[in-house]
Amino acid sequence: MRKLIYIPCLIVGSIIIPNLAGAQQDLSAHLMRQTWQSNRSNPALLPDARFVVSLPGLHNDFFIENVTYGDLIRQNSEGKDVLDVDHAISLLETNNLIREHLDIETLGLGIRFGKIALMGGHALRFQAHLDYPKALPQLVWQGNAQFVGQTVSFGPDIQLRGYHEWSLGAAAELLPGLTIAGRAKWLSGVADVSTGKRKLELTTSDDVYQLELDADFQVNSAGSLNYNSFEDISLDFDFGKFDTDRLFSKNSGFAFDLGLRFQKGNWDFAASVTDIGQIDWKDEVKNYAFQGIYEYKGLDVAQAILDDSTDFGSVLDTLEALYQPTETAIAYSTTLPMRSYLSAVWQYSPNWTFSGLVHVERYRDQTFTAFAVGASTRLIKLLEVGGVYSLRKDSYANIGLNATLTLGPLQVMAATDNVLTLVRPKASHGAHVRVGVNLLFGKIDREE
Amino acid sequence: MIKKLLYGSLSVLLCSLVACSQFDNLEELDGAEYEAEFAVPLVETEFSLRDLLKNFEENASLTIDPDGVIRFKYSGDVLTKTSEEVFEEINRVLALVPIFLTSDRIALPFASPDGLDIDRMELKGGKFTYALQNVHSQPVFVTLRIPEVQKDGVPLTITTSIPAYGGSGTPPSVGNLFSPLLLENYIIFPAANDSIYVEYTATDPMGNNVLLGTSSGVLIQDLKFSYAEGYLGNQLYEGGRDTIDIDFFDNWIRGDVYFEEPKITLNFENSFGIPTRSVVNLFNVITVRQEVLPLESEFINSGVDFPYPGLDEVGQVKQSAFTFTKDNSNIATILGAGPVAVDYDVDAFTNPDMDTSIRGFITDSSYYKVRVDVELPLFGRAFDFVVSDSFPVDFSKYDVISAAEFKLVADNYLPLSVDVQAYFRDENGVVLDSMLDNRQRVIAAAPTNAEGIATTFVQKITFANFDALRFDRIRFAKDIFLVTSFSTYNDGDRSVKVLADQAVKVRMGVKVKTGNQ
Repeated sequence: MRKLIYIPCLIVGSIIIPNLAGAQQDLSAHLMRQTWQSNRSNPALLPDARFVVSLPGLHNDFFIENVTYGDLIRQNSEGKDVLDVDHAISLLETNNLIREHLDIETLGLGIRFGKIALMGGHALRFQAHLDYPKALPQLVWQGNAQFVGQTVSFGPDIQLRGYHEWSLGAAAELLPGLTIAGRAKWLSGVADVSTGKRKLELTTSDDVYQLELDADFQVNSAGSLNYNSFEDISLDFDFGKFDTDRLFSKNSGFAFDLGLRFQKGNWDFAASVTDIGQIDWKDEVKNYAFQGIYEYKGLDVAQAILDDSTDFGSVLDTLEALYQPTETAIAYSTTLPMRSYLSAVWQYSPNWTFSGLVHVERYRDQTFTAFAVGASTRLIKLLEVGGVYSLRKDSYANIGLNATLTLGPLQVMAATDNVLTLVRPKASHGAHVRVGVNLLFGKIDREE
Repeated sequence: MIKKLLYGSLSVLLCSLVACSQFDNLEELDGAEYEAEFAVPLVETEFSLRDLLKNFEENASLTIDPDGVIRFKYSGDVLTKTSEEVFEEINRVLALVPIFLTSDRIALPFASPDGLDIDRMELKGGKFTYALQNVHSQPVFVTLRIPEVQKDGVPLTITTSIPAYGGSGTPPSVGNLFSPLLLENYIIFPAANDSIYVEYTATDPMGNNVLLGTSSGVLIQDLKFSYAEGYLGNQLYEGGRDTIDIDFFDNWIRGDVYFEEPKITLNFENSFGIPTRSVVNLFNVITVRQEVLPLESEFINSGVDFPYPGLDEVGQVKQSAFTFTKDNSNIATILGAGPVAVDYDVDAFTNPDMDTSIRGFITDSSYYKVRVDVELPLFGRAFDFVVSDSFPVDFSKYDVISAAEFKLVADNYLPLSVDVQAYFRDENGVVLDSMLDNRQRVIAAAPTNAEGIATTFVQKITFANFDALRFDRIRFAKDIFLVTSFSTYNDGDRSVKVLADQAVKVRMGVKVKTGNQ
């Protein structure tokens, strides 16, 4: 039975989960206006320096909805830690999300010429998105007997993608205090695996449990997935591995960031929209589609499904005839997660600032909204620390910390949107960290 | 300040260590506690008497009497004749050539085929065409009549006038060549000598009768009759040769088989109002030894009369059946000898006694059908019809099965009660366990209508629970051997009939609980 569920999801299910690493939305960095890293979320945000070099840095953001590590690993009646999937499943909702973003930002440059600033940089970005219905783990882990007489949908929505981002932008202070900026980004795709269609519906008859699978499921792949048979599926995708092979690939696209900043007195307002664009995957493209209604009435297939052996053997011979996917090589496109930021920072005193942020992200036909308020203080001349409280859907206890250490031109920053992850990792729905090192030359005062 | 910095750094470090240490126990996990229940289908099949009885096909049925006697009934093809063929003959005779009016009364060349003596014929189609020529120097007024062809009691009459002939060229004529008179709803009453006369009167302006030109004539075409009455003569209608296969012994698995009182029945259905008798050209039984044994009976020689409706029963269909039994034929001998087929050729002959006083009729919807049934009562009411099938299975790879619940659903479309059992057998066919404790009368007979034919089906759902211990016994089963028996014991008060397409549909599924808890 598990294999019945596994097979359509085999390609995607077996590759996404192992590639998800720990860590959340990058809110703290946006409010750290003194750093180059805030520029990522608004090209109009530049640190107060004439020339900025951003050295390699890292951003990782992980989010898992409805369940935590502690929900999965629990003590049994004998006091031993066990994987309690049933408990985790009980906490799931109809649809559940797992997301991971990993950005390796290799180099960034910013230079000011009076009221004009130019900027550029390179980053390698990995994004994983898994939206899965509760029925999927229920079917795989608990079996289909609970759904006798029902039709359940268990198709996941998946996106696993890596790409190089080359950016070039400009900012201009049109009016005193009002800066507008734009950034164009040429994207070079490394690899992609994503679902084009996600319909997988299993009906278990209440007669003698005849099974019917109604499938309209499509997986698109570029430079990553190879399917020869159920026994021979390979994924060539190293999530998080920096590889220069595809610095300039045929799988390319464009994206744009637009930003606005208005500074007046002690107030600093900013608004931006980033990652408006898409990648067109046309090189080494493969599309695998499962389409049709598959009925299982007799012993031949049912027996194969019941077989819990790890040796697929004849099971696959049987299923492959039924499930032979249609393979095509049709180019496709995937859009970037478009983000919008609206923020304000209030300089309360030379050492204290307070801030607020509204963040909206649109991705895979879903909208993710977050609210944050923050405060920062300069503990010593070299060190500025801050805290951020943020609010997300079904997640209300997000306390972030950030720090900026400045030693001459060297600036080191670190931030997390949820420090509670460090204290109570088992109870956390996500983890976020950003670290970066910048060189800032020619400090300028705002009055300049 | 440095102290603050140190505190801050230490705090972050401490938090990181705490976080990392909390995941250390991943390596010490005692595995996953897993318990799942899967529901899957195992078997979907059906058993019918077609599986049991070879050649138990469309025209076969099986009847179980209240006393348990089983009657196999095989029917031959239905021999059918319609009035179309009869009228075709009449129409052929009446396919007239043009008749020239050489005198003022002339008979149409209407002759009854093979001695037909028709009293009345109703038409549903036909065309009447005339052409009348005046060879006189004065115009003439013509009345043309056919007294034997009437509509609403009025003879067919044409009145017309023809201009005078100038003396040169072609004499003038009138006619309806391009708009013939339609004969629908006319009735023909042939004269006493079976003739139909055409007569005319042609008068000049002075009132003198004159004759028309010899080129004058009439034509009747495309006659179509809806009814004919009279003495309709002798006609032989060939029924053709047919064979009924009754070889059904191949899958019979137990018991001595012999037929108690075999019967061959000629079933008649007739709406021709004509005396008709069967003419048996051939009626042989072929045995398993390839012997050809003719059916012998005085009725083979004399023929069997069809029932027929009288003149006051037009439109009715008469039915009757004649049965050859051991009392009027040698049927017990020839059908008791292991019959495998009945080969026959039966024709029909009208007015066999040539009694012209019997007036009959046919209509355009008349027909007759003859169907030959061979009925073989199988003596021995305790017989079971047993059919079985096996389905490969392999439970050996299941790691841990804590419980299994087999579900058997049987839909019985037969008017017979059905017993079902499923055996789990090893590779040598040795039964390891059975699904049910003993063979169960799983399904009752389907309800029947007045004719003993099942009108719906009866469903029975049976569950069988296997605990882990019992499941271990069937873990190495290689197949499920499904045995279904149709009991011939009839609880009802009427005979029931089993048709070839009726079946018992048997389905099995299982819910298995597996896990490590």
